[in-house]
Amino acid sequence: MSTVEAPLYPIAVLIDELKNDDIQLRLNSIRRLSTIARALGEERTRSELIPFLSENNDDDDEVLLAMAEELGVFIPYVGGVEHAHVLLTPLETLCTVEETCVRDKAVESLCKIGSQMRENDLIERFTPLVKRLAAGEWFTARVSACGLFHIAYPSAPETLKTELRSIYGQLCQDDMPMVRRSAASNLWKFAGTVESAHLKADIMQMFEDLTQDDQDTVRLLAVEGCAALGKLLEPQDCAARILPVIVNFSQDKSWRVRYMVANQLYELCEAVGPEPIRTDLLPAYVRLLRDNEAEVRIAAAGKVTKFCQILSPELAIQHILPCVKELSLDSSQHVRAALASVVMGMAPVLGKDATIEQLLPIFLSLLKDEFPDVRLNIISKLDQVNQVIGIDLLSQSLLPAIVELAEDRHWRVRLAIIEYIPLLANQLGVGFFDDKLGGLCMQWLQDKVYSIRDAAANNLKRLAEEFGPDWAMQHIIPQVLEIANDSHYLHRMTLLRAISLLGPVMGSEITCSKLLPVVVNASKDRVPNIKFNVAKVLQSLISVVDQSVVEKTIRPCLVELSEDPDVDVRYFAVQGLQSIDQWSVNTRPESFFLIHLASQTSSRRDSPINCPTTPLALQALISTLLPISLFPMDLDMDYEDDGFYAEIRRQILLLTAEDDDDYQETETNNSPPTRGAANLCRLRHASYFSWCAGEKTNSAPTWLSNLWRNDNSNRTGTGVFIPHINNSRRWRRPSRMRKRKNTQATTKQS
Amino acid sequence: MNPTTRQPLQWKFSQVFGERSSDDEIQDADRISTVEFDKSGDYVAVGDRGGRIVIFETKDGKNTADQHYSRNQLEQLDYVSLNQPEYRYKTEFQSHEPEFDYLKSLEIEEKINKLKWCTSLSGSLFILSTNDKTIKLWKAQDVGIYVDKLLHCYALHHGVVNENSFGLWSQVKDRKVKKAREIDSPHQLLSSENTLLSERSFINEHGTPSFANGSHVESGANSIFPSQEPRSKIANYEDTAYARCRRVYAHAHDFNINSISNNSDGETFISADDLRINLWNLEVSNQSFNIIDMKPSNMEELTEVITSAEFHPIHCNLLAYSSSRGFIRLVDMRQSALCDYSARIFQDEECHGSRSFLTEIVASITDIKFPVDGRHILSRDYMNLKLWDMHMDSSPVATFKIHEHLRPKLCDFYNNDTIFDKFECCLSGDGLHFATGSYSNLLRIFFHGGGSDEGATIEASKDPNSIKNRKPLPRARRSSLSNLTRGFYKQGHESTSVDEYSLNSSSKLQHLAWHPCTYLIACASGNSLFFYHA
Repeated sequence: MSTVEAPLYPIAVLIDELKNDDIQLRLNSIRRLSTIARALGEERTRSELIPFLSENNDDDDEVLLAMAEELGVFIPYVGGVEHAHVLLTPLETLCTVEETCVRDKAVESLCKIGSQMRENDLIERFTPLVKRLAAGEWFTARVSACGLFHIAYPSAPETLKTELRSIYGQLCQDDMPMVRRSAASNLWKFAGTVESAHLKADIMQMFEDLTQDDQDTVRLLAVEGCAALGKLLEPQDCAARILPVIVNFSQDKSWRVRYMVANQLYELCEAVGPEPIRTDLLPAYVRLLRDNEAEVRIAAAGKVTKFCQILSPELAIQHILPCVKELSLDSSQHVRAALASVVMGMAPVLGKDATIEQLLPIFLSLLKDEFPDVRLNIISKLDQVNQVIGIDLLSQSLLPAIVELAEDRHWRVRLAIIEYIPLLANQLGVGFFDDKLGGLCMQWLQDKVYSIRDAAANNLKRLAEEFGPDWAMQHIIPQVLEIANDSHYLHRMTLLRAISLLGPVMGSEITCSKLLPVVVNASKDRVPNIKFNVAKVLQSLISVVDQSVVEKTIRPCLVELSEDPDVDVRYFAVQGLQSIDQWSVNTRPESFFLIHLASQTSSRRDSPINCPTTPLALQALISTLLPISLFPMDLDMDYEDDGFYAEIRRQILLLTAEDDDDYQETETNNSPPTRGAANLCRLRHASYFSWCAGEKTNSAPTWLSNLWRNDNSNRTGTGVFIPHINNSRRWRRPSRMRKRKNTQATTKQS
Repeated sequence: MNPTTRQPLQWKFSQVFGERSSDDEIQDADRISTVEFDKSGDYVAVGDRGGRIVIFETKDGKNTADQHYSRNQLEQLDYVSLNQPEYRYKTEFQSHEPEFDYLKSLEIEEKINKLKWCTSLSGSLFILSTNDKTIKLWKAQDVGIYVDKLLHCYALHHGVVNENSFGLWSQVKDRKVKKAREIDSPHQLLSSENTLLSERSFINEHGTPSFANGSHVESGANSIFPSQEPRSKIANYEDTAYARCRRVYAHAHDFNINSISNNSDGETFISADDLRINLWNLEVSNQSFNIIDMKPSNMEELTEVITSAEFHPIHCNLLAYSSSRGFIRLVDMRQSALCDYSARIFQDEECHGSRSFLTEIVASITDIKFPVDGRHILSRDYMNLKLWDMHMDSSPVATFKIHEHLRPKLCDFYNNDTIFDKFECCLSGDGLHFATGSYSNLLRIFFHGGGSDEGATIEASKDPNSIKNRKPLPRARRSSLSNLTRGFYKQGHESTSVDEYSLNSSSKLQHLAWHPCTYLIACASGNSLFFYHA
């Protein structure tokens, strides 16, 4: 492995950063803990790194969380399973911190390690740890202990097993409700490892205690474990011990407990036989469906289909269906919405006759519901009904519902129905769609809300995919292209968006003959926003059309735009021209040699860290990678070559490890103009000001195009273009960079 | 001290923080807006109008398990009166800052409306604090305790000190100590500006050579961690705590939050504003559930607002809230998710005999409290302190008249808004004694079974001219308890006329809290915090 031979300098930096005052640096360092450990070697990791981490437990939660996670996979770095126990110490302290997610992660990691440890170590090291935590002074330790018993128990000798069971019993009766909650939610895990004799005696006793707890929250979690516990028991035991509890819970005073039962009931049905279902669980479920608390009905209604799948169709029709009818007229809209989202699934269970006779009226009444979510939920699951009875019976009432949703006052509702249009089109067929829905799809393109227009454009693309280019040519393209003459520039912009999406679907020929002329035409628009969007669309079409068309039509158009008075238009035009060049370079095989060369040159530098030109080298390297990752399909070279990738990865690692300040300078100086929605994410003070100055002297575009020409003329083939590099760099380490940047920006301003 | 004797307690001055001389103007930001003891009574937290929280701790050591035990023993042995807890400054931090809500063009004050202690875990203190809109969870951690703990852990885990790891470790230690220093200095700055910790009270505590106290701290530290080299260096920082904001529960209230209350399950809490009550999970700050909504669809139909809300101390499902119409509603959260209608109403039917505009205003309940056992509810309205039995919703079991003598003046008080003053109330840990505040910095204390006239009245000041009712307390025998309890007790003027009560309506004692285990009351007047014990 090349990393072993890599200079130790970055490792020293990482170790140093473990102690840095900046939390972000500490966090980065912790995330690379495995790298550090590999560099230190197994022995020094055990004797130095792990003790250091054990004491480092007062850090920010984020760091502790990362540490707890990393330590879970640390066994290979401390010398394998025989040394796994050294990891217990840092994790034990993490089990007692006050932040719940850190504790949970530490417990999870401890379980991972414990499950790999040798039996001997488990008895000698792991079990004492569990006992220590269970006797902890602070409840946080006891909470964590509950999650570890199922690892410690199986390998323990008989006397220890008895002790562990009694400790768990004490935890179930702890003073702190938090501990009892943890004991309740981990009980089924522990129960899974306990021998069946003790299961029936000890564990069931604990379970019964927990189900009678004063605290509602403890009982809630006890319910959650019911189903899992039931599956461990024999069916007859389950019916005898768990069933009464569940039936009791289904009539609990607390609606929260009943809510949990409603959610869990069908799982429990799998544990008990069919007979108890009919005699006990079905009545309980029906009661829950008619509960007077809406929340409980919501939970119960959401499980209607799953419950029906367990029952025989007769029972379902006899007992459940009347409740479903009531629920469809429920006073709470949320109950109706929950029902609507699953009720379609009942159709396959009940069969065709019952569906037409009983369910259809329910569907129809829900389709006319005044609450849009209910209608949407029905429409989203249309396919399930279609399989059983066909769409025809529904289509009569479907259409008004769709039209009404399509014109709903709330744009989110409109957005939701647009999402379902392809599904509807699929189910309803081309003919129906043409008649009724085609107009709607066009109407949305001119909606007042951007998200709707955007979704509408996307919808057209999906429809074109669904029905094929020929259909689209006939039904979509003409109407879409008409928008080009719209007086509103936002509508014309939507057109461009639609074209960029439709282009790849329609194929090269239609794009060249129909779409491209419209785009080129739009490049003469008087609104700059249209023009730079043209540049963006053209850029996206490069990959769709032939090389010749690119050279003949797209390039001249972009060149023209690159001389536009508006800076944003120029920026995107130059970007478009850039990608034309990259495209043509990358489709030629000899370019790979150049890429190799670039990586070789940067790797030959003696010490990249001290080299002032490193940022540029890095930029070059990354920009060689960009086209590779963008167009992997067109390459005939073997990119699975591990050595090649490993080398590049190492280069990047080395380069990113170098000093930030050098980089900072290069970056701010070379920053491209940033304005406009597309660039918003890169908007920063420092570069923004430099750009403003640039605009006055009109130097920015010249500088940009010079940069491009230079790269082009000397043909290094790497296509260095700063914006890409900035992007990727920022993406790698976002928050850290942002932090630095802000401070720099303020100093510059002052 | 024996609770079975139905006698008023004999109250003595114990301590004061932030005492002012009479000619000092009190800065509004320094006025205390809430006082709260933690569950063990080892800590007391104070919030002020400037958004700051100050924590005091008992002088006699930290809340270790041993100490609890010994205190319980002492209580049984009736020694408590000899061993009243005394408090010292621990830490202070800025909890809320003034904000501006741009959407509603509304200024949001930084004033701390309520404080609640949460279950402390792993040695740090957790406090919920709220201003009008935003609730925050604060963690105050003892740097000293932490470093000691670290050492302790270290000693435990590494009987043999490895040189290499020790190197790493000592670097960490340096970092921590540096942190402690950094934190230390801003505190000094803050406290010098803060009149709550006016020079005198601070210096008196630490500056006067008090051998007993000083040596106690040292010996305490020594006994816990016997002879470990690095510890002694760090022991100097023992008193430094720093606070970190752990969670912010925001954007859930349209109206001003008046109370927060923790549930007995240790997982949830409620926050109540004028018209709504929301339920939160302590761990989830981006989601809350509305459980009570009194907002009418038409705001002109508004007849009452929520004035205070509290969870039952034992039953996790019971919640009581009081309204401006004088009702206390008890809600069972098990019955339904929205608790608007499932209320049991406690209302004093007598009060609704003769109605007038003013009687309706003074009927408004300003505070309710549950005793530890949860059998009763104590409520305070403008005129009275009332004790309700949970099993009797038609009338209170006891009514203590506080402001009856002001009845003729209500009209004037209405004109200058004094009638809207909100007084808090509190109960002793055994539930047998009740206290509330009044004007002229008066603290009124009653006991179960005694009438309105049988309570004790204390003027909150270092030099309390305690006003006696018919039963004068025996003369105080000591002029000074110690150099630390700089109070002395004098017998008050026998002839207290009604007028004297009400004269000073600008100095009112609104916020107070009772120590959970002993007869010790902390009450706030202006910027000063007074402790009285019996």
